[in-house]
This record gives sequence, C-alpha cells and structure tokens, in this order.
Amino acid sequence: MVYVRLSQEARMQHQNPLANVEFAENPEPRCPVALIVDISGSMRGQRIQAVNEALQQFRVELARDTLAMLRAEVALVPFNHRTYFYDFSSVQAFVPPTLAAEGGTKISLAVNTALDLLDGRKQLYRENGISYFRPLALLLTDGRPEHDTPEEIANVRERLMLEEEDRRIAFFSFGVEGADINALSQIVPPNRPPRHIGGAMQIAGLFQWLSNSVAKISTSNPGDRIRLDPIDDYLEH
Amino acid sequence: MTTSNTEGSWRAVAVSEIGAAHVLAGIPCQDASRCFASDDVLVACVADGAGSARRSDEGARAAVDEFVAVSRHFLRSGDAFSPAEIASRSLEAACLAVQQIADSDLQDYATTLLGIVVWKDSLAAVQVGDGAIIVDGEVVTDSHDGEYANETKFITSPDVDPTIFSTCGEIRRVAMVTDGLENLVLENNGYQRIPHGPFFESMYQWLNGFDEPDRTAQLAELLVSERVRSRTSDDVTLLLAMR
Repeated sequence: MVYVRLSQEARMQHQNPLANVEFAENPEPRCPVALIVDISGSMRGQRIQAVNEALQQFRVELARDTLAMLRAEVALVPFNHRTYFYDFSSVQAFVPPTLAAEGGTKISLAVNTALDLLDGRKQLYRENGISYFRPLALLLTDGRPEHDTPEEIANVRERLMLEEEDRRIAFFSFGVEGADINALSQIVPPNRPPRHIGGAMQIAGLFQWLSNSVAKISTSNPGDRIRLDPIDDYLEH
Repeated sequence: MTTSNTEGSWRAVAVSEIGAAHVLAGIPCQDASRCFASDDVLVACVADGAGSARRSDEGARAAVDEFVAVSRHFLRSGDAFSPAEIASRSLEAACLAVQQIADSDLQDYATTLLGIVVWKDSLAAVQVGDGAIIVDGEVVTDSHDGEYANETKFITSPDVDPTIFSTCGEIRRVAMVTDGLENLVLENNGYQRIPHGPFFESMYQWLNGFDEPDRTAQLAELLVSERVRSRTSDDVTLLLAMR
C-alpha cells in the first residue's frame, strides 16, 4: 500500500471549495528613495569608487528581499556645480551608473531636484491609486555649498523644513571627512542634523544601513512602529 | 464562528488568521473577530491590533467581544435605539473595555475597530482605522486618512473619531476585512476602492451553499494558504454575512 502525503496546498486543491477563488490584483505600495550624491572633484579616487560600489551593493541587498524589491523605487541625483538625475525606477530596473568625480559643489539645486522628483512620483502614485510609504532622501557630500547663493540656501532650507514638519519626507544627510558640517547644518532640517562619516571606508556601511532601512520601511504594515537601526552599527569598520 | 440559518435569516462566518511576519517574529495573531446572526439581527466586529503594541492582541479581542455583547444587549432590550446609536454606543463601550483591561500603558493595547449592526432593514457601520466595510457591493467606509501605507488610527487614541455610515433598505450582503486582506479583495477603479467582484461572488456562493460543518476551517485554510501569504505578511481577517 502506498501512502501519498499531500502538502497543505495540494490538500487544499483537492478538498477545499475555496482553493481557487480569484483575488484582486493590486499594485504593491511603493517606497520612494532619492539618493543625492556629491560627484565634485574632491570625491575623486577612493571616495567615488566607494560610492559606485555601494550603489551596486545597495541594489543587490534590496533585490534579496522579495517584498522590498517590489516596493522600493530609487532615484539618483548626482551633483557637482551642476545637477544630473536618474528619475525613479524599480529596484529591478535601477542600473547604477559609474559616476566620475569632477567640478565644484552646488547643493541647493540638487536637493530641490530630488524633492521635485519625489513630488512628481507621489503625484503619479496618487493618480494611479497606488499607496506609498513616507519617502526617504539621502544627501552625501564631502564639500560645502560653494556655488549656492545665501538666498538659494535659505529657500531650500525652508522647503526641507516644511517637508519634514508635514512628514512628507525623511531627510538624512551625511558629510564625508572634509565636509563643512556647519554649512550643511544651515541647509538640512534641525531635527535631523547632518551626520559626519569617515572616509571612503564608511560609505559602504552607510549604504548598507540604507538598504536595511528601506527594506524595513517597505515591508512594514499599518500600525507598525519602525525602528531604523542605529547608523553607528554600520560605521564601525 | 458560523451560524446556520433558516430561509431569509442571516448567516455569517468570520475568521482571523495570523500573518507570516507574526509567525516569524513569534508574536500572536493581533487580529480578532466576532459575529452574531439571527433572523432579524446581524452584529459583527473585527479589529486589528497594532503591530507595534505589546498586548494589542488582547486589546483587539476585548474590543470585538465588548462591541458584539453590548450591541446584542441593546437589541434584546427592546428599547427604540437605531442601529447607528447602538453602533456608536457599542464602540464607546469597546473603548472603555480596552481601557479597563489595560493595566499598563493604554497604547500597548492599541487596535482598530470595524463594526456593523443590522436590525431588520436598517444597518449602521462604524470604523476607526484601516480596513474596509462592504455593504451590497460597495465600500461604505473609507477611513484611511493617513498619507502613508503604514499609518492608521486606533480606538486607544485620545479622541476617537469614527467614520459612521448608516442605511435602510433590503440589505443582503455584508463583508468586513482588516487591512491585511484589503489588497487581495478590493481594487481601485481610478476613483475609489471597490470590491473585487469575482472574489466576493465565489465567497457568497460558498456561504450560500449547503451547510458545511467545517466552513470556518475552510475559510481559515484559505487565509493561511500560500496564495494569501505570498501577497501579505500581515494578520488577515474576513467576515462574510448574507441573507
């Protein structure tokens, strides 16, 4: 006599009249992430190389988590005295470019561009009935806003403060060794002061923290309290 | 819980099942549900305890038990309260019941609550927090007013502000889901969320079929099946009622 042990699913197929009910197909909620990355001349060498490797790693880490891969969307805004951008795409479609470092530093335009991209993305979500998580933005620089006028700095500061107050965004900034932390503090919301990180070595850790945080947020359920890991745990190398 | 019926009276089934994320994290199912159905009366309540709250499973349980008990008490008493009055008083009672069992911080017991009271041809629905109440093919309360997908409201908040809906007429089909199941049973038609027709058609056909003793078991099996768990990591609750 042969016993056939059916799996739970197979048993259900055989016996349960509900086995084949048709569910609704809905788009996954999205978690937009904007990366604002300094590619000015001072980033040349190990630093820009570390950023390029970290971007590749960021994609790999997110792709490991099935839900996070479906939900996270990434925009990349590299900047020197000019601002460039790669608009939002899914993790799957996000092919990190190889960034080269040259030129000066203008931060306000880059931050404004990232916020504009986020606004556009949220608008698109709303138009298509897609729900979304609070967007994340991350600014990484090793310089100071040398091409920004005081007025531009005041304007972007005000915009960021409003966005944070209204909880429209969670904005994190990081000054790589040599960055003017005081000048950065004048731009970013006071409740999230800029964070100093060491040289190229710690950039990888920073992006690991980021992929981990994005995975946590994008897989959370209503009512969950999200605790991001302390970034220090990722910078001790 | 399944209630069998005679012709024209309500039959109902409600099941809450644990989600994969809670199994992994070793925390209990924080959804709860309870219903009562008879000839003229349908009372049902579902609740989704906050994932971040330590004892929200107890909060959700206490809330649904109290809501259904108090509604039934009002309906039995023969006083001339409308379903809307009964539903909002039962919600108040559920809030108090959670406060009473909260020996520590009330927010440890945070939970949403969705309730319906039907007496003869009159229905009232109350909702605090995520989830959906569906009456005869329409989502009647839409209380998700936070911007983000992981935000919601709880009955343990200082000022509970329920969405209340009431209607009269020949009400035949009622359903409630917690947010864990919303994306699997509702769809977006560009303006609003509407029930996914094929799903509810099959479910009501099944509920209307010959009385099966293991209806609760069948629904429970569906709710923990791979087909559901591949789409949501959250606890899931479904209430179906028809007459």
